Amino acid sequence: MTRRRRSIALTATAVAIALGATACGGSSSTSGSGSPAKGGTLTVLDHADFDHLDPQRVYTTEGSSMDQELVRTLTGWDETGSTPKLVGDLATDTGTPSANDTVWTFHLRKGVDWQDGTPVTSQDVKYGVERTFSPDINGGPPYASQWLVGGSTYKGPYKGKELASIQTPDASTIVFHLNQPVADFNQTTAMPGWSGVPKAHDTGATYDTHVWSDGPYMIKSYTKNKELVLVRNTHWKQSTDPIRQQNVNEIDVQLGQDQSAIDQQIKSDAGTAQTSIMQWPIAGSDLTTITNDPSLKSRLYNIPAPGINYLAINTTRTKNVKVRQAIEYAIDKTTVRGAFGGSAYGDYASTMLSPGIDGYQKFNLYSTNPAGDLTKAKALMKQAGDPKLTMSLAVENTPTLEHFGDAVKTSLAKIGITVNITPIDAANYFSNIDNVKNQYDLTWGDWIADWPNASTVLPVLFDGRQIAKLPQSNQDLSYLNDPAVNAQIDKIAKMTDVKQADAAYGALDQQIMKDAAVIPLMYMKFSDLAGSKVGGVISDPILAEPSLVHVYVKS
Amino acid sequence: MLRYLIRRLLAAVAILLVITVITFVIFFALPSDPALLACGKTCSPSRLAEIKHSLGLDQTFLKQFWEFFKGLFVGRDFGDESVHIHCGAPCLGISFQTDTPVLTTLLDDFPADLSLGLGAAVFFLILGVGLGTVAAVRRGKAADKAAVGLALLGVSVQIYFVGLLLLYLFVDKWQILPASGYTPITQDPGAWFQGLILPWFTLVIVYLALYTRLTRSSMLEVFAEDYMRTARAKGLSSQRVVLKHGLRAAITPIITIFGMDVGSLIGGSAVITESVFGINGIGKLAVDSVQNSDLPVILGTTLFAATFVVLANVVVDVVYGLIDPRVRLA
Repeated sequence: MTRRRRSIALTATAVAIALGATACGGSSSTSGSGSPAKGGTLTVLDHADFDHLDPQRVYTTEGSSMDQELVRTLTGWDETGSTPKLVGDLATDTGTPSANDTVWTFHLRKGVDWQDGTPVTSQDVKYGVERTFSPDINGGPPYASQWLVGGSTYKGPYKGKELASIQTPDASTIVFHLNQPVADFNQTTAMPGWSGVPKAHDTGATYDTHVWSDGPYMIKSYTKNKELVLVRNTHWKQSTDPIRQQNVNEIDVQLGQDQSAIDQQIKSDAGTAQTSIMQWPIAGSDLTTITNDPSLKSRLYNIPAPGINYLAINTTRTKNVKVRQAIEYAIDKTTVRGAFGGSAYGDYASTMLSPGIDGYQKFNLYSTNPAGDLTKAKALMKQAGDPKLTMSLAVENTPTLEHFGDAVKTSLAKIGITVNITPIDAANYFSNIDNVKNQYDLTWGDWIADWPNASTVLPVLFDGRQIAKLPQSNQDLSYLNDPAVNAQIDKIAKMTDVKQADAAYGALDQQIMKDAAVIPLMYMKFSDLAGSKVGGVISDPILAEPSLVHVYVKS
Repeated sequence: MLRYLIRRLLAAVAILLVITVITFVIFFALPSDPALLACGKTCSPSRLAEIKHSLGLDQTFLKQFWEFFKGLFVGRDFGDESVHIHCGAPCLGISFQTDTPVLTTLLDDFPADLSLGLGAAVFFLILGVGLGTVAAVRRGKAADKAAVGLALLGVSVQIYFVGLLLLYLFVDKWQILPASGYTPITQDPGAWFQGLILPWFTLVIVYLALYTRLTRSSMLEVFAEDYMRTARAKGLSSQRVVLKHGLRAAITPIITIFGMDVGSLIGGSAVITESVFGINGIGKLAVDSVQNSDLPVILGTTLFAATFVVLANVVVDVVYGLIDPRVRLA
């Protein structure tokens, strides 16, 4: 999943930092729990518009988080406890798999209605999922077309065709036939795309601004790139929804202000800023000032993402594993993390799976000191014959990533590797490096899991067969194509015992790290700020967003 | 006069046509692929081909250009399989990103730029010319140094800095003004004005410098002319000499620059100001469209801005003739 924090931030917020020193002795009320107040308007200040709100097209954390207010998915995450718990949302429970996990059945709750009062049916959900296949409904995750039988040739419902592998034996039952066992399919169905769309209200490619609601809020008005206003959906019933509440009267999302101006405004806590919250993370240049300000602590959300920030070594260009291991030891993660904003950005990583992800095992095959181990690194380079190497490093052309590039360059200079930094236009960075025509020796990347399971991390980042299959969107940045790893990926995919699969993924993570194809850098965290009168915000570690499902404003 | 105008307008149309061609060519020369951006993180080659087809990007360059060109005069129909969108003439296409007609979005955003650009222009023209005149008249005196110093300060600071500073002081700290944002004048004239005070002020600070300096040097040049000495020798009051004879002659180069500035400002060049103050205008639209490889919007915003710059130039030429009798339009 993408957190679109990558677009241009107009740089250099000297002002915000300079002012931070003097500013803000403002009152900070405790945002303790207590019973939520009803009424009022929540303002959401977002740096840019959502990629999509159409549930079948959305693939960013901001958009998915906002969609939770509008649409109900088959399953969902109850995040009120210490760890997120998968529950039935539109469905009565988390689904029933067949013996080999290839057929999944969900029963819909009674009493869930659309915004016009008509009941949500299994046909609506089938139609919604089928939309994913149309080329007009683009941008969303690939899982439906990957897994549903017949998905590779189906082109969507607009020409009157249905997908036979989604069956609706009655109005409240839906059955999915998959072409392979998927043990965590019911976690996939917590993504926005696995929701209903009533055919009569589908506006196709323009559905973004016309999303038909079965959640607690519905669209009152939506002007792209300007403003989205959500109001209560009177047909939503608390009794049918285990995840959401309906506290505020209105959610007013204002789109398009510069992130630093948003940071400054919410920090000041003046006027409407008291009832405002942001969905995009605090700008890198403001991060340290804000996270170090004790008066802001009660309204700062430092949310761990199920994701990893890493450096990939192209294994087809640097074939000698000794050199790759030397790089593992040589990278100084303290300076690298400094480039991203310091400790608030996240903990040092030693594995590709992050702690919130099922399958995570704690291990560290390389330097235990985050600053690196130059002695070991130099020894490994010696074993490799002390080659004098020059390597290209691809980074985004943003100040943060260019500082990161400098940190890597300095680290590797110490073991005799000269690094040439190649900055790439940030908007096109991923389409550039994901294209197999563009190969760099070293590539920066980050990845957020689509749901908190190793199955949306390791196979995506290390299945080498995608290099040939997806030449324009290859996520295997290290070009690792290890038959043993590929075979293990296939083997785990067939496991129906989730615990067994988790353990196997943990072992696979170690196996991959032995190849020294990637250097895990940080387990990312994202920081967002809210006004002092915003209550009920839940740190959502699945989307790495401040979840608004229980949000209220204090009077 | 009329013939001159017609000739100029025809030339303007030719320029716009050339700009359209150049924008098209640049877009196709770029390495980024809008279909790939639309496709999402994991995109198979077959899916990519389908999306290319649905965006019309699988057609040849010439065909795409011709469709666009034709649409300007007769409109176009976009037969997406899921939805039918009619785009009436002059059709600038449909955004890849939002599936809305580009012209609708532009006209939607335009009042914000018009308010921002025209409002700021009025202030910086009056203040700039005023300060510049004072500086020229009092050349070498304290008033001159103050005006020039102020101008230097203005030209040195960045919009990004001034904007955030003003926001911090007036909105966040003193709470004199409401949190920024643009309110249409038709909706609430009071809020419209309040919301634009800081953006205007920011632009004025930055542009003021240019106009002060330009007026000052232009005035000094005119002061040295023979006819100015004659005017003084005739015994005219110094106010009359400066304003009627001096300023009228000195203002022509300023009008030229002013015309272009206003044209580009209302065409969306105040992009940083827009971004800092959360005004969603054409400038921001243009930057976003480049980021998203949204060709129809890139073309639309470019043409829109170009139209205003070109039109402003025509107006300037006409105004020349009115202000300066030495210029004759034939």
